[in-house]
Amino acid sequence: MSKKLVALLMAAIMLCSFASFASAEATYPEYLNLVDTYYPMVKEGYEDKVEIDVTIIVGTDFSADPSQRYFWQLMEKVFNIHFNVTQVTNKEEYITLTFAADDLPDLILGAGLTPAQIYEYGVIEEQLLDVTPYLTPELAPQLNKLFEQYADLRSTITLPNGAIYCFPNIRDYDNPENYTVTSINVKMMEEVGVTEKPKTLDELVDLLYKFKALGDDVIPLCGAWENCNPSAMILNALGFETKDHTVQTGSKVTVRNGEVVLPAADPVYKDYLELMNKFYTDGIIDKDFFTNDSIVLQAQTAEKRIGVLGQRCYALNSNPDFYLDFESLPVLTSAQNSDPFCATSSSISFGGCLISSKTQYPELLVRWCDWMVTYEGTNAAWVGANKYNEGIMLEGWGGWYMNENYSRCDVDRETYPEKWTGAVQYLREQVAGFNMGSLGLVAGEDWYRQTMSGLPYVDKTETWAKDPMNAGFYYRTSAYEEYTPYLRTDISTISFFFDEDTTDRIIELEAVLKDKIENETAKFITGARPLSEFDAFQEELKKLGVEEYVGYYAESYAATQGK
Amino acid sequence: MAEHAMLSKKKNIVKESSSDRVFSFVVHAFLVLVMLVMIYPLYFVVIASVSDPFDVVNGRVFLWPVNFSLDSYKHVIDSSSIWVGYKNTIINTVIYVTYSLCITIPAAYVVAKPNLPGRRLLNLFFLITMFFGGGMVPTYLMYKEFGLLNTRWSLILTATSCYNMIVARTYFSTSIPESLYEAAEIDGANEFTCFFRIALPLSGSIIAVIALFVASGSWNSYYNALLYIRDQSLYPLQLVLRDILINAANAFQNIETSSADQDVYEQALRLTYLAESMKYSIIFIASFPMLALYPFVQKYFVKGVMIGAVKG
Repeated sequence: MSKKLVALLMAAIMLCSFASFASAEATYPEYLNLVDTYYPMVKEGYEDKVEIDVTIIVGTDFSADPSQRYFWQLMEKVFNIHFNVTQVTNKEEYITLTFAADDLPDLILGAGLTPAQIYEYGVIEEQLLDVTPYLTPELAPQLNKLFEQYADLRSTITLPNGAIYCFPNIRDYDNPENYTVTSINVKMMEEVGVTEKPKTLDELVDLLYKFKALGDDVIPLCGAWENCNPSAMILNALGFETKDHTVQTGSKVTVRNGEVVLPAADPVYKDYLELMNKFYTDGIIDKDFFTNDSIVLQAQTAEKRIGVLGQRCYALNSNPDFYLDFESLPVLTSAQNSDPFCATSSSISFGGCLISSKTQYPELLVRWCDWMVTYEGTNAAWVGANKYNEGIMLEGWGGWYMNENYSRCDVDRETYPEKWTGAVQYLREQVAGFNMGSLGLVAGEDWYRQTMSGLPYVDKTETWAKDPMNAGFYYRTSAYEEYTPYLRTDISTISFFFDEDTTDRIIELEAVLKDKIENETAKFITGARPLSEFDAFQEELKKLGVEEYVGYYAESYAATQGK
Repeated sequence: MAEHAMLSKKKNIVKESSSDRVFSFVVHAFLVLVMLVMIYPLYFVVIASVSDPFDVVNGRVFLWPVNFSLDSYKHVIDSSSIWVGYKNTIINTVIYVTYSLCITIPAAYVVAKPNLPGRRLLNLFFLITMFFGGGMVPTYLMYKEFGLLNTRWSLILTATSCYNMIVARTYFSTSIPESLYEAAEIDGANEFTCFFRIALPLSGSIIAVIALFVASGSWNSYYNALLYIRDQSLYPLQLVLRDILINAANAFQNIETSSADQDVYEQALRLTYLAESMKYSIIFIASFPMLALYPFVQKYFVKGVMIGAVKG
C-alpha cells in the first residue's frame, strides 16, 4: 500500500511539473492577431479599441494632418489599430522635454537617438522598453530572420547589458549614398592633357596645379569647411578611415592602421595641414574656405569652372551641363598609406524607433515594428502600397509601380500631374507615415519593388544605367565603379557605449578638444600659426587630455572587435 | 509794429561764430552717419528681399535691388500656413496684451500705495521672480499638469513682465499725486473707484507704452510655441516662417534619392538658393505689421518711454 501511495505521489509530482512546463509557453494578449500577413494586427470585433499614442518627428514639409496621409489610414482601416499621431518638427527640444518630464508616448518615430542617449534613457533611466523578451519567433519572425541573414545585426543593436531598445534600419552596404564621394572634372582633365584619373595624392596635387594654370576662372578644389569639405578625401588618402564630416576637423576618433586615433593628435596630421596650407596659399582652395556656405559654393559652380568637388557632382549644381563633366575620383593612396580604401557607413542604424517602457501594448508594438522591417512595411511607410498589393491598398489611392525603365512611378502623380511638383512633395503630403530611415529594411528592396511590379529582377547598377540623365543615378554609377571594391566601414558609425561617469568625462574632454583642434587647424591652414609649431600643438592637446579621451574609445573599440 | 517785432527778434539772435558753424557741421555729419548706420541694414533687408538670390549671395546688392524679383515673397505668401500663422499671432497678441495689462496695471497701482500692508514683501517677491524662473522642464511640467500643452493658452497665460509692472508702479507713485486720491476718498470713493475713475484715465500713456512693449514681444516670440505647441493649426507666424525657411534651406538634404526625379534635384537646389533671399523677405513680412502700427502709437511711446525712469 505504501508503495502504491509513493508511486501515486510521484506521478502527481510529474504531472504538476508537466503542467508548469506547459504554462511556461508564451501567451499573448487576447486582441493580438498573429497571422502571417500581419494584418489585421488587432482582431476584428475586439471589444476595446486599441489606441496607441505615437509621436513622429518629421521635416517641416510633411503635411500638417498626418491622419490624412495613406499610412495612418492604413493602420486604422486594415491593421485595426488607432494611432493618435502627434507630429513635431523640433526634434531636440521635444526629446529633451519628453524624457526630462517622463512624458513619453507609446511610440516615438524619427527620434534619431545616439547610442549614448539610448544607453542613458534605456539602461539608466529605464524609460525605453527592452524588446528582447518579446523577440519570439511568433511575435517577431521577420527580425529573427534578419538576425540570421545579417551576422552583425544582433550585436550592433544590442547594448552591453544585453538589452535591445530599438528596431533597426538596414540599408545596402554598397549604396553610394553612404560613401565619401569626391568628383573630378574629366573634361578639364582632357584640357590639361591628362587622360587617366589620379590614383595617388601626389598625382591629384599635380593635377590641381595644372587646373590652376588654366586661368582665374578656375577653382581647382571647390569646397568649404562646413560644406563639401575635401578634407575627408585627403585624410582617407593618408590612412584615416573617415567619412564623417566632423572628422574633417580632426577632432573625432577614427581608425588608422587598425588603431584608434584622433587625427589631430597623430603625427601624420601634419602632412594634411601642410598640404591644405599649400592649397590655401597658392589659391587651390578659396580664400574664404572657412566661411563659405553651400549657397556661395552653388554660386561658384555657376560662375566659375570647378576642377575637383568634395561631394557628389550634382550636390551644388543639378544642371546636366555641369555635372555631366564630372566622374567620381578614385580612392587615393599616398606615401603615408599604400592601402586604398573608401570609408562608408555601416548598413545598420538604429535609434529612430523607441517604445516606452510604460506602454500597455508592448507585444503589439513589437509585432508592428517587426512588420515595419519587412519590405512591405518599409515601402508602405514611405512610398505606400504597390498598386497590385490588394492587401494594403486603400480605396481612393493609386499606389506605385515600377515601369519598364525600372523607375518607380506613382499612379496619383500620373493622374494629376499638376497637383504636385515632384515625388517627394507627393509622398510627404499624401502618403508617408514618417521620415524614411527611422526603421525599415531597405537593403535589397529593388528585388521587392521589381517583383511586385511583375518585372524580371535587374541589379541596381543596371537600373541606374537605364536613366543616365538622372543626376542621382549618374553619380551612383560612377561612384559604384570607383569605390565599391574598396569599401571599409567607418569607425564613427560603431556604437560606443560608456557608463554614465565615462560619458560625462568624454563630453567634458570633447568640448575642450574640439574647440582647440578646430581653431588651431584653421590657423595652421591659413598660415596664422606656423607649421613649425605642430609639435607644440601636440603637447597642448596632451595637456588637454587627448590621451585619456582616445583611451576610452580605444578600449571600447577593442571590445567591439572582440564581439 | 511788425518792424519793431522784427528788429527785436534780430536783437535776440546770437550771431554764430565760425567755430560754431564747424561744430554744428561736425555734429550733423556724425548724426547723419549714425543714422545711415542704423537705417542701412533695414534698407538692405528690403532691397535684398526683392533682388535675385544669386546677386544677393555674390554681394552685388548694395544700394539698389539687382535683377528685381518677387520670387521669395511669392514662395512665402503662397504657403497657406502663413495666413494661419498671421491669424494665430494676431489673436494671441491681442489676448495677451489684454491679459498682460489686466494683470500689470492693477498690480502696479496696488504696489504703488505707500500704506499697503506687506508692500516690501510683495516687491521682493516680484523682484525675485523677475530674475529667477523655474526653467524649461519645470515650466513644461506645470503646463502639462494644467492641461495647457498644445493649446493657445500656453502662449497667452505665461508669466507677465515684472519690469513693466515696476515701470507702471513708478508712474503711479510719481505722476498721480496722493492728494487726488485723498480728495476722492473724502467724497466717498473706494479703492476701486479711485482706480477706475482716477488712475486709469490718467494712465493713457503708460498703458500705451506697456501695450506696445508687450505686443512687440508677443508678436516676435516663437520659443514657447516651439516647446508647447504640436498642432500646426495653432502655430504662430514666427514658427511658420521658421519652418518655411528651414524647409527651403534644407530642401536638397531632404531629398530621398531612391525616389528622386531629375526635376526634384533642380527644384530642391533652386529652393535652397531661394532661401537666401527668403531670409530677408521673411524679416520684412514678420515685421511689417508692427512697423505699420508704430506711427499710431509713436506719440504715446515718446511721451511714455521715460516714464518710470524719473523719480520725483
